[in-house]
Amino acid sequence: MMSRMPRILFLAHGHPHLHAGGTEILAHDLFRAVKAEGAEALFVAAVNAGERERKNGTEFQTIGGAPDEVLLWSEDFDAFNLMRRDGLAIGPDLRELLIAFQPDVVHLHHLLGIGVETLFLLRRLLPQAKLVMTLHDYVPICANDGLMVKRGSGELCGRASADACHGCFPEIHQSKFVLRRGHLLRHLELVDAFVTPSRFARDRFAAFGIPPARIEHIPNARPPVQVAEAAPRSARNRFGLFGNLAPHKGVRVAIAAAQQLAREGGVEFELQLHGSLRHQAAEFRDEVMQAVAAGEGRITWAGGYEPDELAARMAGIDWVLAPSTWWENAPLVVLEAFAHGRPPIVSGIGGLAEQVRHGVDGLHLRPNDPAALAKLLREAATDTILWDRLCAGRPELPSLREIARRHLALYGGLGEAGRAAA
Amino acid sequence: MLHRRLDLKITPPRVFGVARGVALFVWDQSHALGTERGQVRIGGEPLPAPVARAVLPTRWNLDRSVLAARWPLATEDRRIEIANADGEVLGAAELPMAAEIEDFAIEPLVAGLSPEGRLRLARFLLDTCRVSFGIGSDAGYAAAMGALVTTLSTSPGPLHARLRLPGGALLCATGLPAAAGRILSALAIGDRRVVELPVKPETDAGRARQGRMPLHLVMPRLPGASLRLALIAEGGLLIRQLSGDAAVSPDMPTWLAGKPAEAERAVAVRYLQDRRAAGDAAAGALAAEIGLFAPAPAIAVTDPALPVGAEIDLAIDDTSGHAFLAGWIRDPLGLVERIDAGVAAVVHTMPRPDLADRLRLRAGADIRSLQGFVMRLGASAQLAELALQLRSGTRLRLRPEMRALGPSAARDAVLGALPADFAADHVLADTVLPAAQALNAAHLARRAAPEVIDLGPRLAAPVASIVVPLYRNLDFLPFQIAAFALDGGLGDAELVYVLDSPEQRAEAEIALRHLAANYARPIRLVVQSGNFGYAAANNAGAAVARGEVLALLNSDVVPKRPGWLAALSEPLGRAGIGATGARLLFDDGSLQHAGLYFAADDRGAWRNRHFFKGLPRDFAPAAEARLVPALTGACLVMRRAAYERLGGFDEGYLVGDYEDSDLCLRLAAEGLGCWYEPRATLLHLERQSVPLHGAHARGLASECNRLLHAARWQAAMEAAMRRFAAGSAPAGTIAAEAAPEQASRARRKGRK
Repeated sequence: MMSRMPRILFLAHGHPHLHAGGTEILAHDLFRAVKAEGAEALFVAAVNAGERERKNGTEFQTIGGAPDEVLLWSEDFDAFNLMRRDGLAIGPDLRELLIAFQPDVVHLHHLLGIGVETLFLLRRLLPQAKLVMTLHDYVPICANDGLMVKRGSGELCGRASADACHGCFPEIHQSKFVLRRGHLLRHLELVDAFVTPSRFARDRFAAFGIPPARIEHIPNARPPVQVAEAAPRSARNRFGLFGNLAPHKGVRVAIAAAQQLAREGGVEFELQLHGSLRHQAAEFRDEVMQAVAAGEGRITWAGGYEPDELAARMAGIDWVLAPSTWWENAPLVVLEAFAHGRPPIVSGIGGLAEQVRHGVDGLHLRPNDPAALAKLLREAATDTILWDRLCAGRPELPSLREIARRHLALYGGLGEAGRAAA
Repeated sequence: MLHRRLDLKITPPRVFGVARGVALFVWDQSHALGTERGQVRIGGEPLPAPVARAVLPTRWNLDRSVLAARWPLATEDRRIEIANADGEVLGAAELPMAAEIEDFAIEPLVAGLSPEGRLRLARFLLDTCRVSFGIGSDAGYAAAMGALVTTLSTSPGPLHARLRLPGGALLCATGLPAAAGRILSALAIGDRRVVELPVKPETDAGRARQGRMPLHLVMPRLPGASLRLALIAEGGLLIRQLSGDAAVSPDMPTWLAGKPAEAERAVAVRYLQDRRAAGDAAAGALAAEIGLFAPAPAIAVTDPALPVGAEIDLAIDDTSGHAFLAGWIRDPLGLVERIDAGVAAVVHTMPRPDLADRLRLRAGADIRSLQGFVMRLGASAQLAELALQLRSGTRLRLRPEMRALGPSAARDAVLGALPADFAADHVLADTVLPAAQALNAAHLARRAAPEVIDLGPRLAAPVASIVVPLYRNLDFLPFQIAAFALDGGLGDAELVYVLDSPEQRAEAEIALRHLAANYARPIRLVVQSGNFGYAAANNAGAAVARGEVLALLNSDVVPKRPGWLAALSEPLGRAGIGATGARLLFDDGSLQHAGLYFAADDRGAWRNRHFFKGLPRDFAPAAEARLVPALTGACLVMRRAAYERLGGFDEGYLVGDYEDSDLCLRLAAEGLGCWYEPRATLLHLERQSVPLHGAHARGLASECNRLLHAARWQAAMEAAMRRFAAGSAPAGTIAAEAAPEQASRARRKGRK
């Protein structure tokens, strides 16, 4: 361990107050938790013209007045190669900040908006610092929004290769994927330790080319919540879908299953959609709204919610439904389901299958199969004993505090052992 | 039959001076004394040459005889005899005494002459005497001729100045009556000189109106106040005088704005081209400018309904005084005897069935009759009078559209004149190659010193210099520079990027400046003053490099792992090694380069090939380090001193290709070998950068370079391949030291 608490600079691709995505929330929670353990920390999040305007004469701006949280201007980003196009990877302002703050550890939570060449600069400006990176999604592996799902067909993709990727992007030549991968791995060599919140993700990144010995599995955690105790009920037939209501979350699958269930009849149930549709395409929004309108009250959309409103939303449902059509890593929604004592029904793939044990603390569904989901929903809606059993099987998850300590151990451990072996 | 009729009449001859040292003897004589063919003797002897005589018909029964000879006479004897062809004296007279030579006078000469006689007299004096005695520059003669034309034509017609020409000549126009017939002679008569016009005048029968047609000509500048034009035509003598104030004759743009007739343009251009050939640069420039300001419209035979068709697609003056032309002919019925250029020309034709689409022939049309042609003319394309000559003698005129192209665009047009598939070697060697070379040299001659920009502090003492030419594609820069930066072994290597597309200067500078800052690597950016090709770019980069080791790298080559430069530099320390090259891979991991060799294809053309191209990266033979016949320039490492001693890449190659093997063969000639080192493995994304250059797309450029290369190196390539097969190194090297395993392997092979 270090003789004193380390100074940690967090680098994220966004701030949860501006965009409440899972990665942003998790990174920011960790930042607060690490501070709560006594470490000095600074949270720097990239921001662009989608949310703010650049301030004259500086790359920085603040968010909410916190003294240790800063927004870093990032515009003109090459999302395919994960490089900044607008010139200097980090401008003189951040360089100054780095030199002034002298972090012992720089913990990156993404490369979007930050740029992979930043790793080189960090290594050069802070030769003694440890570089740690958490891999929250598969963006470095997969150019299709990091989903590892094939464009068009929506099929799950097991492994990236120049030919497979060209198949998804016929307009992009294989050589571009070769260059991209080489460029990323070359820079990722500079990272001392990687963290993945699921073993599944660690395997995926090892296959991509990151030495597995350098990847540590540390699960995600959420801060303690005011639990919404489930009131006794005769039927446990209210299903809730939470979070960013994007198509790859399986919203369409859920709606189709609900519609089928309604047609078949014989069971009372509710499908509630909780989350913002703001960032979705108009077409998708319309689809959802039409389903709601035609749902005869069985399908509802409750809109977005603030983190402190989650308990109230959870109070109104029995099951948390996450029928994602992609692999996921270690999504927040499952942590939240367990925290509030609502068994999760999840696609039995990837990170979800790792987080939820079928028949023990939740249920697995076949992804992209509305008929199978309908059947599962019928079973779940009518079997209260099942619900009780799964609630009882709810796992003991590490607290955020424990996770923060594990991170601190990781940060400190690097100092003694030197860089992790390649 | 002898005519002993000594009483045939001869009037007493009079002698007139016509020029210094030349006199005219004038008398009248009976018809019976015949024509000029008789002999004239003075003092019993025939006159010494030069002698000229005219016998002119008068209105009366006598002929006027005019004899021109040198004066004073050699003899004192004053008796003049006229004899017939057999030498029989037909008449005699006494000449006046020497002192009695008279000043030139018109009246005795012309009195009583019939119109035909006057015409013949004019021709005799203006043409025959002038030429025979060389008296055009004699002031007395000029005055005499001035008087002559004044008498013969009291009111000369107008001569209009149309365009000022360099040197004071004037393009002029006048009208001719159709009855004038063919023009036999055209002279400018000034105060002190009489000269032939510098170019043959052109009539424009197509624009004849009411019995008159235009005549276009160039009047030379002559000293003195008066200047007249004398035209001796079949139908008479025509005199013209410049009208108005010649000093305000129009300049070129004004003249062109008046849309001068083609015949007029032709005369002007012909004059200017002749002057240019004589070294008058201003005349050459004016000719070129006329072609650029108002290009003559193209003439082609393209109507698909006609039984024959042809068009000139391209006409380029190649700066060496020759022109390159390319076009097509469609002649299913065999009507065309040949293509005629009007000047010396080498013409090649070849089948071009690929043009069928472009010409939109009717279905069923005989595409086998479609031919392409290329020509090399011994003169400017503007002077050529191109035509299809049919068997009947009918000529179908052709004229290309003349485009305003600088030498590099012209070179590219030549290299794009026809698809490589249709260009046999001898056709290229005769037509395309010399034109492209001349234009290329002209283009390279315009080079200015490149601009050198230092991005970041220069390395104090670089051990190696990496030189990378850039042309249009800057996309690989971040990947390349990141790879260099993340290679600890390149700390002492300076990076030199040479921009061969200077229009991207700003973009390149910004990109490189930021990359240099991001990766803390100083970069030297050399900006060429134009696009001068691969060889020139590498040479420009090498010229500013300071490292002892020179590593030439293509912009689309990205190292896969650190350590490549060290692996390539190390073998340079061994005796007998002149250059090293790397294992290069395509994006799919297959071999792009594992050494270069020479082989003749099935048509006997020697080409550069790569060992094991397309085979897997780890194909065992490609993993062996060894001597090879040559190496690709995409990744070529050698001592900078050696590169400089050899003069770098040869800039005579067109655009880019074969310079690398050319350099390697020069090394071999010095006894130095090429070493292939697979420990250095890099990515070479070959497909991405080649097609960007217009001339290169599958080009004639490559084939022309191949011809140049083979002409220079065929024997050396054969020798190199023989040596390679035997496992030995270039003559004079210490082969065993350089490649002990290779040599012993070869010996073992040899024993089999």
